[in-house]
Amino acid sequence: MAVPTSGSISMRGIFSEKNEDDYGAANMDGETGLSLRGLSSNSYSDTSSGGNINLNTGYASSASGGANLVNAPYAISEFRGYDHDAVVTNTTATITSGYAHYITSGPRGSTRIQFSKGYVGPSPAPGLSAPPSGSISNSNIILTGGTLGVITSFAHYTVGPGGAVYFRLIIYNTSASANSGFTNVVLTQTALSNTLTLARTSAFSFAYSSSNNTRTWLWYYAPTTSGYSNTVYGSVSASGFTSKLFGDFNTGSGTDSNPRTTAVFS
Amino acid sequence: MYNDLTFTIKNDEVDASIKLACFTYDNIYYEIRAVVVDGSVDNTATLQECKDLLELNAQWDKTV
Repeated sequence: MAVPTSGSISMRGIFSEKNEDDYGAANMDGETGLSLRGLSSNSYSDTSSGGNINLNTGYASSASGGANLVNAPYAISEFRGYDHDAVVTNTTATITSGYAHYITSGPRGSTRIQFSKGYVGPSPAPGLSAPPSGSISNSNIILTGGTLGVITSFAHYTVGPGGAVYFRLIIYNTSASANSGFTNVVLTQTALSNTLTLARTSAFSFAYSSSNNTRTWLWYYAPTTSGYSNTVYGSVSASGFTSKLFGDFNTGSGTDSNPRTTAVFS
Repeated sequence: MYNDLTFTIKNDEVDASIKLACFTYDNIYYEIRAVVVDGSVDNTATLQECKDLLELNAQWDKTV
């Protein structure tokens, strides 16, 4: 039982919530000398007889005091709603894309556009440079079923000169190796309202590297694949061929000025 | 190349209707959708898919 959101509340109950996830038990568990500063801050002991109990990392979203809970002046009232065993989730990462587009030679004098866009995207072809890394926020994905891991790359890039594309997701996690952990990831280009759902089970391939502690999923779309037109603008042989999901609608190389892509995991 | 490559077939942990070809190469474990024809895994085509994936990755490793 979390700290009540209304009515009177006690430091004894708050300690009990932190100590055994049960405000109502109001159990001191043999300890003495409660400290409001200790209850509020991970830098001080909760009691004079015992040590510190760290707050749930999601305290700011459950306690009424929000992020200010841990800052002086401390207040008992700021603990209203605090739930010590609340499961903290983070389902959404936001990406500011790095990008690179290249005009390469195709058959019979034609040209082909190859690109790579996203966060830490690879070179779109051997001999071409990888794009700038871009950046990501909220990269540590935590779902209700557990921690998926930290996104170390999420990018969209061409595979060969025919216009086929990969979406590549790399997740770092020292305690997970299986092809599991999420059902879907929904990519949205927020400024253009383009959306694409990538199902884990529809991935073209999965790879696990024990030396790097990374899991890599690849999704493959060829021009003949259903839904291909939801992934790119234009055609491979014309300028303007680029990702619909990652970054601005642009050409050339560089880093977007704004975050444009969200990746929502479920 | 990749002449010694072999794979095993397993079902996806969540969707058992999906057959995955599993193999390890250069200390990296891979799973790739098996090529299924008339309900049965086409071993020759699936092995080629595995090799193609490694070949593609090798090309990228040279430049990335």
